[in-house]
Amino acid sequence: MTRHPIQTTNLTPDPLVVYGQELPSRLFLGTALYPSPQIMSDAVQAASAGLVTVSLRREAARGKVGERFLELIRGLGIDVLPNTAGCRTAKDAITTAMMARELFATDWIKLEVIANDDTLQPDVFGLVEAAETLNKEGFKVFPYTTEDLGVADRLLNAGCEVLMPWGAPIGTGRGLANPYALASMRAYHPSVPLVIDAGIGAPSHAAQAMELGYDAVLLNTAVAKAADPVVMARAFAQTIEAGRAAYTAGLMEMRDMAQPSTPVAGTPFFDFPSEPASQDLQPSLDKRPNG
Amino acid sequence: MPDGARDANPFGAEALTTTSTSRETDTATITVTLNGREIRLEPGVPEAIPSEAGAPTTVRDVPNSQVPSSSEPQTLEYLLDAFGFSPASSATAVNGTFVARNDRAGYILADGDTIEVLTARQGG
Repeated sequence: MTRHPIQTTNLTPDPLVVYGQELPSRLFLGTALYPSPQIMSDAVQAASAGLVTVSLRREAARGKVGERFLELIRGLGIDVLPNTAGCRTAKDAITTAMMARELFATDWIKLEVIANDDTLQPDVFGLVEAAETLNKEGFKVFPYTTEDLGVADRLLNAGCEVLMPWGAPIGTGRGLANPYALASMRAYHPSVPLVIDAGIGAPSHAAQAMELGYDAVLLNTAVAKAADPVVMARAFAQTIEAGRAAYTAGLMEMRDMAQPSTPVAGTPFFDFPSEPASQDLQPSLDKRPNG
Repeated sequence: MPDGARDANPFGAEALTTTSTSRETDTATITVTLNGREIRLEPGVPEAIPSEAGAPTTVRDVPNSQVPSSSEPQTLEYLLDAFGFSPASSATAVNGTFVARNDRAGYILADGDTIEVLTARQGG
């Protein structure tokens, strides 16, 4: 008898390609909020992250924090995606992106222009304005946006080759707040890499995003604030791979009514009443439920 | 994931303090804002004012040899050098406009300029 080894990895050899670059995984991981730099580093490794997000902040006089963090990030050997977190205008975001390009030596930028302090909702007007400028300046823009299809069109017309709609407000961990709209975006832009960015709280949320056909998930807090970030990072990696495999395998369509999975034909008749009614000694097969 | 706006600029500003104005100012003295704090740049003024933690905090901490003479312009490069920012791990902007690393030496600061010196940090 020939035994076939069970293939446990690379079930779906369909690498994610963004801006012409193949990424090693579909999990994008943030580097903030971890209990320690070592745990962050271990979590990134456990996640087999496709890229890690970083930011820019003010340095203290004679400070070495930034220098040490740069060394740590470079040591991970993973592509970085700097963000413009905290920017409230297109101008601020553009300047921050230019500073990031020099500091991190990459033309990738996660473009955030924030409209509201309570929801951290994207300012889509500023977002489009900044994306137009940055694309002309040679950046590869990863815009943090909403599910709005009109905004998506504007961003694509501005030169963006990837879209990153929010799942839920940043840091809430509420999962996909509007899966209907996200599914519409996936259907409307079948060939554009789409990444769920923000709001993911549990691996099941990430799996749902991947099963909708999203190409990747970007998350931070759900891993960094877990009781064990390293184990949680691995859990997300596994579920994102599983979700992607499920999507490519093709999910069944939902039905409104139950339908037996066990064959109906050949069902035995174990449930005769002890005193069968005289007119119903032979119940028809097609009336018998199956589990 | 991402950290968003609430944590904007949570780092770094704590070590910068405003210089005193005990010295006579001259025509070359300018006042600028560095990472949210107003400072006076006084050419050729070496006065050490250590912070409570003992770390240098102001341009006056710079040894004499590193301070330009009053005839030299106060450039962005000078400012970074004076405050001990690492040139390679810092990114700069003046009045909201990016200034590239190679342009810092030739960028002469003016009175009222607002300078941001940013570096790498964790991000979502």
